[in-house]
Amino acid sequence: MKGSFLRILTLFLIEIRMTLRDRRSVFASIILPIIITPLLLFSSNWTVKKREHKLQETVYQYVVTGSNVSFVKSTIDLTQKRLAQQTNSTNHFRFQETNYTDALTALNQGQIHFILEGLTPAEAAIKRGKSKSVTRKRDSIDPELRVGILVPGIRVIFRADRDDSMAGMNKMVDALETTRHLQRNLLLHSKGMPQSASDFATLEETNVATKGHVAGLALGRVATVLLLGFILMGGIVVATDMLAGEKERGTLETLLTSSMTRFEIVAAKHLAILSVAITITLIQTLNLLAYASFKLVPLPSNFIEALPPSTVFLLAILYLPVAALASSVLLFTSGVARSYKEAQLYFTPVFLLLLVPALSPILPGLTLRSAIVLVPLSNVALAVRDILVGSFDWPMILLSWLITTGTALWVAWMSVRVLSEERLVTSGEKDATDYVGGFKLFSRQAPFWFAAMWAILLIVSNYTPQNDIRIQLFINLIVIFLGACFLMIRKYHLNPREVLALRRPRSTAFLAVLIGVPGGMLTAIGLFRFASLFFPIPQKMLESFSETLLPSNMGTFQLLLFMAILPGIIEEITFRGVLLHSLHKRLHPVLLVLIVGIVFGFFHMALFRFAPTAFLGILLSAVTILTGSIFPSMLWHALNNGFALLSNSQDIISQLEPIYYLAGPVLLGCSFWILWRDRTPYPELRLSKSKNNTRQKK
Amino acid sequence: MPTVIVHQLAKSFFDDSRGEIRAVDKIDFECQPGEIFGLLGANGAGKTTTLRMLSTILKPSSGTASVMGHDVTTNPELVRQNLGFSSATTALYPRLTARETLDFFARINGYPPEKARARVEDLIQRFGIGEYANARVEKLSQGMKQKVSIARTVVHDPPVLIFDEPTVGLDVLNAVEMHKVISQFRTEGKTILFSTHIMSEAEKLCDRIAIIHRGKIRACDTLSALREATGQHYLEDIFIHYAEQADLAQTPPPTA
Repeated sequence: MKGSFLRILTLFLIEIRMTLRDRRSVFASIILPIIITPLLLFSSNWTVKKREHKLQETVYQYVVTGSNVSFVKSTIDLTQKRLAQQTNSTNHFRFQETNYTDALTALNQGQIHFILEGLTPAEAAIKRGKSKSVTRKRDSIDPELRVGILVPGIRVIFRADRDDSMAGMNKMVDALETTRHLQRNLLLHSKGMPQSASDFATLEETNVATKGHVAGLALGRVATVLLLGFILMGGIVVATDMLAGEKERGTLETLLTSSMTRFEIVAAKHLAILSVAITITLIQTLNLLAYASFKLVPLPSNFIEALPPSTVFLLAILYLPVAALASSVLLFTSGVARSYKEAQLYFTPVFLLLLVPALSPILPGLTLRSAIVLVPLSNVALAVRDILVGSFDWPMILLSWLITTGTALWVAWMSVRVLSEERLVTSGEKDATDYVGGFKLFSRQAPFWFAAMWAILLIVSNYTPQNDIRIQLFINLIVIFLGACFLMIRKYHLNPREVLALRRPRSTAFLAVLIGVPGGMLTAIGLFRFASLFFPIPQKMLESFSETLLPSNMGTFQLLLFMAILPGIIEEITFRGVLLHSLHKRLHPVLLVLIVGIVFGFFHMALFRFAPTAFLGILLSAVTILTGSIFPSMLWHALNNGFALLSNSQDIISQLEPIYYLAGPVLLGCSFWILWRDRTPYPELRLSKSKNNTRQKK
Repeated sequence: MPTVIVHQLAKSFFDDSRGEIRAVDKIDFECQPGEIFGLLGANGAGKTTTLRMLSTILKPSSGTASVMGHDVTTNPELVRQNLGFSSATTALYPRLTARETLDFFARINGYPPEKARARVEDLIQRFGIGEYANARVEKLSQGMKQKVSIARTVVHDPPVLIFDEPTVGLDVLNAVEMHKVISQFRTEGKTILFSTHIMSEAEKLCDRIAIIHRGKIRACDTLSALREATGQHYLEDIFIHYAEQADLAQTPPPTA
């Protein structure tokens, strides 16, 4: 253990030393960002100020044309007088009429900024009727329009492709409108109306959030993406060099033939990338804060108040797995690539893959208490947003942290595996599995299929209109589940009979199912009630659950078809068929049953449905393993859902005495005793370690 | 007691057009301490694959191999600790100096840290790399790199050394230097396993020669015994004798 730690430390220090000696890396990942950020900020600030100044100074030139010049001139006069009175205004607007015979050409050639065309009442009515998008329709809500009174008009003609023309037009239209507004008020007043039209009633708004909360929300939305951007920028050059670069230079084989283990190598390299990434993130954060203190970056005024030290500490802890995950992904990508060039090819998709989940705080309506808590990075990003707004949902924050940390470790472990893959560490030779295809490849790639299915399901369930549950069930079950199963069976040339365990079970298995269904349900509900004593579940959550599950617009037959029979068949094909088959040679049966059950639970999206569905999933997987057939679990699943519907509609559950819950485990025990006694196990299970070794040696 | 034992060792690869290729096909041999054992074969005969399996980079498809009593599949770390491996694909870190390279590899290969410094200085003396010990490897010439590379291979004083085509890409002077170094290691009692396709090199250095052709060992003995068995004097002729015999015995290979 001590030797291992020393070796990791030695390699880590050497990696850091080599990174610092690589001028290219140091320049690209540390010096360049430090120089570029202030340069960008300075130049953008400078250009914005310069531009504002220039537009401020401009005396806008215009030509008055049209058949109602006098109306334009009188309105302009009024405006000019009004503006002359407002000497205190900093945003002063100066304009001057000029004369050109061809006003349009003058506008096109940039000699004037805009044209004011005076319209007679008749013309104005026609123009309004066919006004195009280039004409600003500010007066579309004018009461005159509605009653059809004919009034004169002014048309402002400008060029949207020129900054000064656009700015002049905007200022002129605003000025003219204000003038007209005042005129109208005067007119109303003279006819005995209140001083202003808005005096009919008052309207005001009160914000109860502190400035700190508002600043926190603004920061929380972008903090994770910004941070991840820094980490990736810093880590990417180093990570590419560390595995892909080593392969290219031939030094990886030197390292792999030393007595370091693959794990030690990955641990040392991961630490090195993580250190560089964290260093660069700190430098960039300090950089940003420094510019903020010079007022180069506009930060909300109460920014610092929103961040007490305890919050900063919590954020640092939350961001640690984010940095670790980013480093793991970079290292893994670098490990998969066989050369520097190939690694660079992968980094754009990797960037997107990491940055998109970090953008979730920007998406409207996403809350941490949903299936999104299971998505690494997304969950931390949302947790950070919530924390900065001052809301601390501790269980969800902890879950987010655990899931992102777990993912980081899993990806790091994948990097260890990559270093053992011959096709990746030695040049030329390919891994046998890639060519053999069939079950071996299926077994290796099935987890990715299920991850993709889960992601699609998440998107579909969040972004489809939920007015008809039948459509959603159709998409979920037929398109996603059945479609993916069909594609997998085809792609890997699998035997459907084997994959789906289409074997005839013993007849006693069905007896066991009949006893087991009520037993399982009672046990699950009992456990759920028992658990809710410790973790109170909001009543609203439970209510919304039964609402979506039990739409009132379906008849009994349709309900049974969509809620019990179809899920019973298709979900079993997907989980107890394809998923279980893909894992059955890799995992010990107990682990296999647990994993298939838990994955089944994850696919039920809503967090509060996870426990009961995972429990059901575990039972169904155990049934399939013991009978070697999918049919008993299909029956169990369909009956279970049918009973659930029945008990929900009759409200049986709430009337049950606690003693009935105790009957659950007894019935369940009987059921599994029958299944065990008459077991016809799933073929080729991985029963012991020795068997697995012989299989690997083949 | 043999330091290296190879028993029924095999490795298969898969190729799009040719299907399964048996790069190494159930070979057996043993090496003794203080012996130079040569694997002689044409390009693609299976030499490098065999040595890579011994250095635990590749996993055997079947059969077993052990170094100093440690199995390559069950105890790869202990195998590597007892092994110095050098091939065309084991390069040096360009951004480290020669001295840093040696120090680093001594440490990660489990050489006692308190003795590491003395060992590194000793090797720098012995291989005459003192002048450029503090220069970065990327600035060294091919010959200098070769010396640092050999020093790197033996820095943790392993009992077994594997050299895969050690003289490829070297000029005559450097190649002769290499031969001298290998002979020296033999006098120190190390087991040296090396592969080559250069007949004269094998003739000059090897105590025993294994002729490997199409993944199988066709003959394995001392040079004099091989001469006696085939009636040929030159190793080149001996090699061709066995290669032809093997090709005749086999059904003709499918043309690609």
